[in-house]
Amino acid sequence: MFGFLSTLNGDAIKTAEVIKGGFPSHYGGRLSSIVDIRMKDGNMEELHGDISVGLISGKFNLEGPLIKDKTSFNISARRTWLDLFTTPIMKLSQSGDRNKTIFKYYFYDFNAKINHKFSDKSRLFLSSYLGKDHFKFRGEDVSKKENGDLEWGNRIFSAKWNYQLNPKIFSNTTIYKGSYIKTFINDVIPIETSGVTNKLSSKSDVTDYGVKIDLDFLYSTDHHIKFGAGYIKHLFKPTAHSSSYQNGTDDPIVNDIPTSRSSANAINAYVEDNIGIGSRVQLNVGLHIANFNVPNANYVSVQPRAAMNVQLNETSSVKFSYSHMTQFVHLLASPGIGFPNDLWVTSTDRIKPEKSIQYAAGITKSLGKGYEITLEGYYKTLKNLLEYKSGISFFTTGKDWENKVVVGNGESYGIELLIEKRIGKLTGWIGYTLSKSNRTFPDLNFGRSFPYKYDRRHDISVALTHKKSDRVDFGLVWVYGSGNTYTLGTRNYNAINFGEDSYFAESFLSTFHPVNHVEKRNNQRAPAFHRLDISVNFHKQKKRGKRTWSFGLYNAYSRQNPFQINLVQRHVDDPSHEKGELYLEQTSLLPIIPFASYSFKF
Amino acid sequence: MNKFKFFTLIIVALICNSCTKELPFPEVEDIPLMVVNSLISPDQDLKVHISESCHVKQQNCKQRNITNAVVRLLDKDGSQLSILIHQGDGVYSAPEFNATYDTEYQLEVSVNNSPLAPVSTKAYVPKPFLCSLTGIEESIIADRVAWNFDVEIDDDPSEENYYIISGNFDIVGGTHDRGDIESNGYIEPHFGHFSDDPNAENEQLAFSNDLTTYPLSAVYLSDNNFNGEKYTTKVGIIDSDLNNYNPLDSNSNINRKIIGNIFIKSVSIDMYDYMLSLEELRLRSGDSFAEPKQVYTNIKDGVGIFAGYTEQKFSADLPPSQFSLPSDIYIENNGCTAPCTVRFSSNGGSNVNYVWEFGEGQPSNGAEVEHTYTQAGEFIGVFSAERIDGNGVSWDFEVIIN
Repeated sequence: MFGFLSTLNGDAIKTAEVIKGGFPSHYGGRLSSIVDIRMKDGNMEELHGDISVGLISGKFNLEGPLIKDKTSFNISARRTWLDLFTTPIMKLSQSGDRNKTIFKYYFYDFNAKINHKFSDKSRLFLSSYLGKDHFKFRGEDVSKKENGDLEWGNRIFSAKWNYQLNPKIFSNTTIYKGSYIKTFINDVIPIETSGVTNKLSSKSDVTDYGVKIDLDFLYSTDHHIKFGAGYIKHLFKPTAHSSSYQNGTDDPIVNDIPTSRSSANAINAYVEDNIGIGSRVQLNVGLHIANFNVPNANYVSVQPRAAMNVQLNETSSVKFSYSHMTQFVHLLASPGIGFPNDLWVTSTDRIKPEKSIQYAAGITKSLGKGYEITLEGYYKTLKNLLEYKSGISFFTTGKDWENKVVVGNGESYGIELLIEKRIGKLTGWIGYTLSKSNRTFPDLNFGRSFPYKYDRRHDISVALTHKKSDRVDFGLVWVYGSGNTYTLGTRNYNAINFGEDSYFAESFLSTFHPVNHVEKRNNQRAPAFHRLDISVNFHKQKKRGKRTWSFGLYNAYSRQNPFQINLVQRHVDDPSHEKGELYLEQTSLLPIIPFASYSFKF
Repeated sequence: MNKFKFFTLIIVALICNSCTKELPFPEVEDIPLMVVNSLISPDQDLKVHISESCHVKQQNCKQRNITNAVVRLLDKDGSQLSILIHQGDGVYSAPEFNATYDTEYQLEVSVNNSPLAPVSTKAYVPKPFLCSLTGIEESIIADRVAWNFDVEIDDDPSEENYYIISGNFDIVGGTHDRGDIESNGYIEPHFGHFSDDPNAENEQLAFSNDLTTYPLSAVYLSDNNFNGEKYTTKVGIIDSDLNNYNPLDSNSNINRKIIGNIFIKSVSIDMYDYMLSLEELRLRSGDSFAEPKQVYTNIKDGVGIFAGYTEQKFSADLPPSQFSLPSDIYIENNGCTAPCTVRFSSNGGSNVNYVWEFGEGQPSNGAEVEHTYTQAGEFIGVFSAERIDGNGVSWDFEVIIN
């Protein structure tokens, strides 16, 4: 979160593959990029580990045999403690201010895996992941104190049995449980007892139970066939919501909106064949079929996929892909720029599954000296996307969330350029993506298309490592992304009043209703997000292992990246401005933060 | 200064500057836009209000009327029909002009020597339509006492029609204390309009059933599902206070009557979109957790509305309210000599639950009851009346038996 720590713990992961286009058929249930993470199995021979302690975070990883050559384990954990560092500084810097604002953020996660080998043909893997982000907000002004707490986290447990039926067929049978829980609490407490106390809390919960079997069949050198089937039971509890309002010492008015529990059954099956045609052409064709069942509705989706890779010559290749994808859960993005409060909801009898069709093509060329350049383009259409109705609060979304959303379509396209260097003293990549993402909803923006909240025109990432020697290396990461879009009324005017007074009456032009004029949805763009992180590592081989001292700067030039943008009323006794005017205020979270850490790997 | 202290100071300075900063507003906002407000109909004189917008930073945008605009009304082909004359307060009118049905008009407004961009817009006045009021009944809607108006519309299948239906009441004779909401001689509904017609947009609008907080100004209906036939819709006007008005005004002892008025407007799609979006804005304003509500405009290079409608109005006397709460009770034969029967009655409606406790014996239910007192004495009784929505009244009364 906040680009601060990768959500993947590098110590626990064997491979992590990001798939953006040309999705093979064995993936399903998602429209956009998929991150396929495989955790480390654990060393069967001897105990290995590393531990790292720094100013802003700490982590450890330990792996080794439980029974030599039979059973191994791998555990790792991370925790950021940046909050311990920033909170006192924020307090100090605001001492004496009338308005105080303090943000706290921490993240922790825990991975554990046990790997047992029954025989060369049969293995069992048990793994679990727990991760939680915690974001706190504490505000204070003359009249009130405000507390905000937002927590969100994942828990995943799985058991996988890997079995080799014969030299050509491998099978993986997996059972798992995954859950995503988010809670949000916001309390406004007046300084004087006669003031208004407002308390809000909400909780949302998505839990999946699944079982699946995947088979790999190496039919011949030219045909590698994968097929399988799975079943998932989804349990959704989107936002149970409770609020209470108390005026002075009156009895509080409590409003509880219970959650709507709903469940869904998803069955899927797939088959794909990785075909070699001659020595130069690789073809992957497949089909993913899914059935999604919710009360009063059943959805069947047939998703053909195809990808082709042609080796043009020794240094160049081209690839093409075409994929149909269906997603039965919808991401409901909260409007505006502010609290990360996006919500997952299910398809229902009224809300159809999201669908996308994606076309992609790319060319890769090796330039020698370890350089490789890739140029890719894609075009994607999206159907049955969800957005909140205009003017509707996402906060009170409870039971009746279906009444608060509108359905529409989207399209996105872009080109990506990636220059990579994999060998040599200097390694890394420079990537640039130019893209556009639009939404068209009959009931939003008067039916005209508008830019998506996460429409990112330019996206640049630079990650470079310079290995000066075995003992010293330097790292540099720079990311740049166009700002998110948001909606801002650009002018105020007076409209014909009606409501309290009849607009049809003779005097309909005698009173007016103030209107904040919003010309287009998402008409504003937040300032671009960019950040430079630099680090230097000093390694030394000790008798028992390798120690590393790391020093660096997070957000090296202290870029104030937007976290929230609000229209705020100017302080009344501000002498330089007209009383009560509004201005646009951007809140940023993390400035330059120096860090130092010590790690030891054995 | 030691190194640690220096380092800490730098960090503090950086963080101080990093939490919040002011962003500039988009420059384009410094130029105001022209605001045009006008509805055009054969049923009323054409009036156009011209003003200019304020910067978004000004929370309370004062009305900035424009008094020197050139306001031209044109026909569909661009021939000038009238130049409107300023009447004061930014309102322009065309005294000689009468709008006709099924006609498109254009409006062009410019201001000389002004940074305001000239604007233009079009409005369509729909065809006349047939409709009637076929019934009025009193009922309970959303736990409140309401009047339901049955409105029948003859659908013209050849075009899309949009209807905005609203109503109000008129108390004729006697006195009433609804002065605070009286406007132009009418009594505005306290709790707004309601519809359970699935074709109406009202249920969508009133996402909360709390119509006290979110009153709706009208019923919004499009004829997508009418199929060229006669279509009946119920327009509910929630006003439980009104039901407390008895035919006999106890203050003045004058028999008054309550008239229900219903206004059925066939509107252009522009007006429908505009009114709907304004309604939503009104209902949902002030929610910081929501994307701002967009209000529709059809003014090119400006904001506001110029749209056409035609209207039919029906009025009918409301029948006596079944749900009216009593304002008085009547005791007959009070002061009789025991044993004797005393008769009690009240002036409330027939659909109210009455309880009479007589100061002795079993209580009775009903608008009119009797009780036989067998002994002399002074009895303090309690009368209470409660309506299905929970509203009620209660009084003590005294019976003397000789």
